[in-house]
Amino acid sequence: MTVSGPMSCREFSARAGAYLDGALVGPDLERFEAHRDRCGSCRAGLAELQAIAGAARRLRLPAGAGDSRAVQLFRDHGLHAPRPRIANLPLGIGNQTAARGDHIAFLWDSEAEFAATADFLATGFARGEAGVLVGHEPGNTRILAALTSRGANVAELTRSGLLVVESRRGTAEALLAAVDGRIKAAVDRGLSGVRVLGNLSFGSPDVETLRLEALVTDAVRLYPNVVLCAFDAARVTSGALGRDAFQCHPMVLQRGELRESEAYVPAPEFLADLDRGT
Amino acid sequence: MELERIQALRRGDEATFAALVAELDPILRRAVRTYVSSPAVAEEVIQETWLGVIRGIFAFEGRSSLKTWVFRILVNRAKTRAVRESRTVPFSDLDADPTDEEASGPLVPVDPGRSAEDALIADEAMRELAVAVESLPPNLKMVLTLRDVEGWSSEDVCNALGIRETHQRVLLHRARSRVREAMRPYLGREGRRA
Repeated sequence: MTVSGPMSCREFSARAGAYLDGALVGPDLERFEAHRDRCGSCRAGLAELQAIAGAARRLRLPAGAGDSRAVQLFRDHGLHAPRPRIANLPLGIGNQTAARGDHIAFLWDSEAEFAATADFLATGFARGEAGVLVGHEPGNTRILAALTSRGANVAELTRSGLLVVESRRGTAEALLAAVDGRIKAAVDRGLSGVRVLGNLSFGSPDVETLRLEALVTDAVRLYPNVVLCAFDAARVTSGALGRDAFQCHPMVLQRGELRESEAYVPAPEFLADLDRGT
Repeated sequence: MELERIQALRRGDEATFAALVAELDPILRRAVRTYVSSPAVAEEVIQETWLGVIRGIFAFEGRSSLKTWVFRILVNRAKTRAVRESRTVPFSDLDADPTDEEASGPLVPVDPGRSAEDALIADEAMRELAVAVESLPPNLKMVLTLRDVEGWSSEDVCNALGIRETHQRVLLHRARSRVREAMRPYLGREGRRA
């Protein structure tokens, strides 16, 4: 709203808050300042408001008593808190068992092995766990088809919220938040676990994918879930994909064997390297 | 700076977390009592808030400032609890830890300096100012405390409380005007309005 002409004392009062916030600009500001310079009582009133704001800055809130309790929560529940890895969850691929919180790079060699990622999800459904499928459309479609061919009722699983498909979008944090929300929702429903199947890395991984992969490891550690990321083994050996598969995943599944990744780099270091462009 | 702090929290840096708690705990304690009356429930909400921070830090997108995000978690949980609490008699008041009451106690004036706001910074005036702020209705008190006592930006306050900027400004102006009326004897002039 822009009104021309001199400002009244009433309008001056109504605009004082905006003025003190630095939110008056242009003609409004000029008219406000003109009135202030002209009207002694409004000028004094404004100065009083400024004095109140300035004096209030000298007040302080009493220090809280709960600091130590919050820090203890951080120690007990922080994502970094070390936990023993107990591998007792059937992975559904080969006869391997995974542990809660595992983030696994699955290097598949053949179409049959890729389709076996559907067994990973199907094994979870049979155990009363939820499944989240994250990735590019073509890969998602293939995995859903493989699930169907294994007798799973994809429509029913989706309707009941047991199966959720998230397509790749936005920033790493946005996708992570979406997956995180899915996992929390499943846990809140009382499901015993969540299996996340990622097939993000069909092309060369972009920076956002690498950031996501690095962040996922710590983010999922708290929850009763297993994250399995599928990689075409033939392409992993050539450069950038290898960095994603081996450096971002603490565990690697290849040729039926689940092992720790020797090249794994913890997220803070990995992200720092990524920021430096190395 | 802010990003470094978030990254430190993500990698589990306890000193960074402790500093964040020390910084925000007082204002969180004040804010929670705007929504829930029982000190025991307030304490629970505070603890739930920090747990929410610990669990959510990986998914925090940094769209708002860190302190605003923490504050939002608190406000959301406090509101949820307030709804539940309003349907029950707050028995927990009776067996609350007395230090909780103290922790969310009244504003206290810092030792006043000499440079500015000369009419207001005398000891007695500062005590009166604290009382005047305490006497504000909860919403006005919250906005004035965040803006003027804690020095938060308008944007942060809007995000933290989930209100629009114009609304925030009206609340702040109203709060300051009310405090000014209460402080009139110390301001040394009578009856003018701005």
